Amino acid sequence: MRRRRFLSWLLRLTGGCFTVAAGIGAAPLARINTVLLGEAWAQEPCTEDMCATRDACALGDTIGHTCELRDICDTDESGDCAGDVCSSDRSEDCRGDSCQSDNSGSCNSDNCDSDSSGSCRSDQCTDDSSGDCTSDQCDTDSVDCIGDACTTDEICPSEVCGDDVPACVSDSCSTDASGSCVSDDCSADTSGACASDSCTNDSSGSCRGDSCQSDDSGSCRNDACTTQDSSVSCRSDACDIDGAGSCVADGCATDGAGACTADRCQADGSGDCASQDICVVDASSLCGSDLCRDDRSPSECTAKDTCALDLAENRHSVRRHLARKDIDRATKWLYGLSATVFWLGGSWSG
Amino acid sequence: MPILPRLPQRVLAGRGGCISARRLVEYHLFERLGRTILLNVETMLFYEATLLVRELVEQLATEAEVDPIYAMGRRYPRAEVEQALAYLEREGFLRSPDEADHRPAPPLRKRRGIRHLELMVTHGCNMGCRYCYGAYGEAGWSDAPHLYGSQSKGMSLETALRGVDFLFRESGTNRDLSLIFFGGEPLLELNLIRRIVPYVRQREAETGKTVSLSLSTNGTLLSEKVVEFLVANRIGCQVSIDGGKEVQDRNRPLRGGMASYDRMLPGVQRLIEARPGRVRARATVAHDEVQVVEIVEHLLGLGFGSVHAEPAVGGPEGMAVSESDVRAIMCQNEKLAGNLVESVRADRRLDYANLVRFVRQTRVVRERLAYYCGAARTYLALSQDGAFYPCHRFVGMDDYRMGDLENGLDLRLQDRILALTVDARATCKDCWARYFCGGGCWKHAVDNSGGLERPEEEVSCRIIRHTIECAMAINTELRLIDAEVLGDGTDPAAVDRYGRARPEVKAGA
Repeated sequence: MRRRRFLSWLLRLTGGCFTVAAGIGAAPLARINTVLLGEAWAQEPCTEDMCATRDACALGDTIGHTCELRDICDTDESGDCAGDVCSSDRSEDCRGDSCQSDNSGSCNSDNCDSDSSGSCRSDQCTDDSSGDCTSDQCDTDSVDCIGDACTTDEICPSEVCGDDVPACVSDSCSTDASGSCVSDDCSADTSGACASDSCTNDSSGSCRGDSCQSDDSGSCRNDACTTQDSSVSCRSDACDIDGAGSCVADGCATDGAGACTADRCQADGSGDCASQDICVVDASSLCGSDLCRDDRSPSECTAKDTCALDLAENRHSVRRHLARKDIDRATKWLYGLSATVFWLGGSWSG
Repeated sequence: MPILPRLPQRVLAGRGGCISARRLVEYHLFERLGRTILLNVETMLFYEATLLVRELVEQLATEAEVDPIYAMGRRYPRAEVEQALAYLEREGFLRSPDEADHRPAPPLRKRRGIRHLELMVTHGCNMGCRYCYGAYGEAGWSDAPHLYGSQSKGMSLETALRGVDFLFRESGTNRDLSLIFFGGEPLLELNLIRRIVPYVRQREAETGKTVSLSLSTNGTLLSEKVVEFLVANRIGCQVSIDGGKEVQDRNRPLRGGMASYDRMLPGVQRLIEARPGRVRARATVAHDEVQVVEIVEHLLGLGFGSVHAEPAVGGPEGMAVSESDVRAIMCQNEKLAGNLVESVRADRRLDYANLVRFVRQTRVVRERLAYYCGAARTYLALSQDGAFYPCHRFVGMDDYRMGDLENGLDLRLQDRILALTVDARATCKDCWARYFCGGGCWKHAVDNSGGLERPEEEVSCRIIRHTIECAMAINTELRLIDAEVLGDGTDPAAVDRYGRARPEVKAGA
């Protein structure tokens, strides 16, 4: 980036003369890339590195992949790096570094933020995942944690915190993913044998009688979930969306069930919907005398319908069509009225 | 772009009044993003070429017996033509006829140990993607518990732990290993994963090796607790998402046909917030859904660190990309290449992994690829019934079964694959891109021709070749080393080891 800014500055300074001058003597072939292979052509050896990310210089540095000595790079992956000033050090023999992250195997008493060394003790780091961490000040500790001041612990028994223990029973935790969870009070339950839960989300396979908001279980019945019910054999649901195949007499807002009749849903895509629907959209084949706003049934919308749109004739002319019918009806009525008035007038004058 | 011959041609080149026979080595000359680029296939070096060099190479390739200085002398000064010839000679494009062809075969990588193992923790999934290649033969699921969508209970803990032991045992001298939880939807088996992870850490401590854990999820089950678990246990995540709401809901519905986008979004955003810039999205581009630019921009806009788009090949009929889709994808890739150049120049990040991978690979060439991936060599998948396969895509295909935990690894398939280097495969050996590409996905080859030998040419090869050309053109445009392209894009000071934003950075943001 610095080089780009410098070139941009130079270009402005010289008014483009530099570029033009360079262009006059331009080589017919300008090599773009670098090849770090033994048989690569015409590579120049490189010595002391000052690379920004990873040392990509050629022949001199191909062994060991990257920088070897006194690097000032951001990342150093060389095997025998020592005394680096890099912010991340992956070398195996690193000692006494002042890097922010240290993955070396024999790191002791480092000042780094993260330490994953195997024999780390008495570190000041924020995260510690070392195997035999003792008396650390870290926030998170995973294995064999003893006497820690950590906020999350995975091997705690009888806790009120997030619980991941396989044999967790009768928890009052906010999330339970244990395998044998029964009668939980948690807000989310993914356990396999969950029954009679009062959780918000239930994805257990054998869920019944739940009062959850969302239910994906396969054999869900009589649910009171408010969002979605995708169970195959769902009946008599009060959910907003029902995708069940055999849904009947639902009160849901959207119904995609094949055998839906007498629904009060806003959208009805069932095939057998007839006469009794008050849905907003009706796509059933036998639509007639509906109170729906859009009629997408193949049969022509009759004058008894109050729908604003009829797609039966594949055109958006229903309003005009119905208006014309209404005007015709009104004209006939006026004609009849005036005929009656004339007849009455004639009778009186007669 | 003109179709140019790739094979060596015998030519005559003038040298100081003395005509000596010269022939072109294997090369690839093309134009992309307004740049003329010449690749030396043998050395893998590529160059920006002037119009003179372009015409000279075409001349040398097509009219082998004509003195190029004479032929080109009508349009260019003799000195310039000679200089161009000298450059071509110096960079190894010309060779005397007596000199044997130098085909620098990539080193055969004998198996030195397994480095990556996929645990197929479940084949169950809560989604019903239209193009899912695991959806074949749904009726036969009861007889084939290894297939996707089957209702089997998932991998047993015993099989999983034996798989972990196998990875450590068979890794040889490799110190950096990886374990991938795959499905189906692996988070459906979160309890199993929770039990596997401590065991992996225990084995790490015993052996001194390190294992990077990762999984590929559809993003629907990323609750707060799950994200915490993934972050705390350093389990990398790739989220399968196809783009915006419309395309995602159409192609990747939940089981039962319901929309999935709104359902997965909160969890995905939670994960991205926990690992800013480190969550990768994988989008499948299906037939007639090839708005790659739109998809990439949408997903990067959601905060994904990088986006990889993969065309649907094989799978259910009507979903695989067609000839017209391929042309559209190439067009979109080229547009993204232009966007990438603009982004780098504006110090913005646009990690479209398909391109960035090859930008890095072509910019600094570290090896000649003999194979596309490590499947069956250093990479294996372990199915629920304890059998080994080259990767998750082969699970359940008896012809590609590589033994099992009981009887050990069957290396016959590995021997077959080891012999199929890019220089040995009929279609690959004459392809200019072979050392960058490695020969394409083995499963695509099997889907296409029923065997491993012939790569899938109609879709995969064409798109990969075009992507490599775009990558070289990007490098030609940019020239300078750009940390945004070469690095992983994450400010090391902004995140901790688990990829979480440091508190002060978060507050500042």
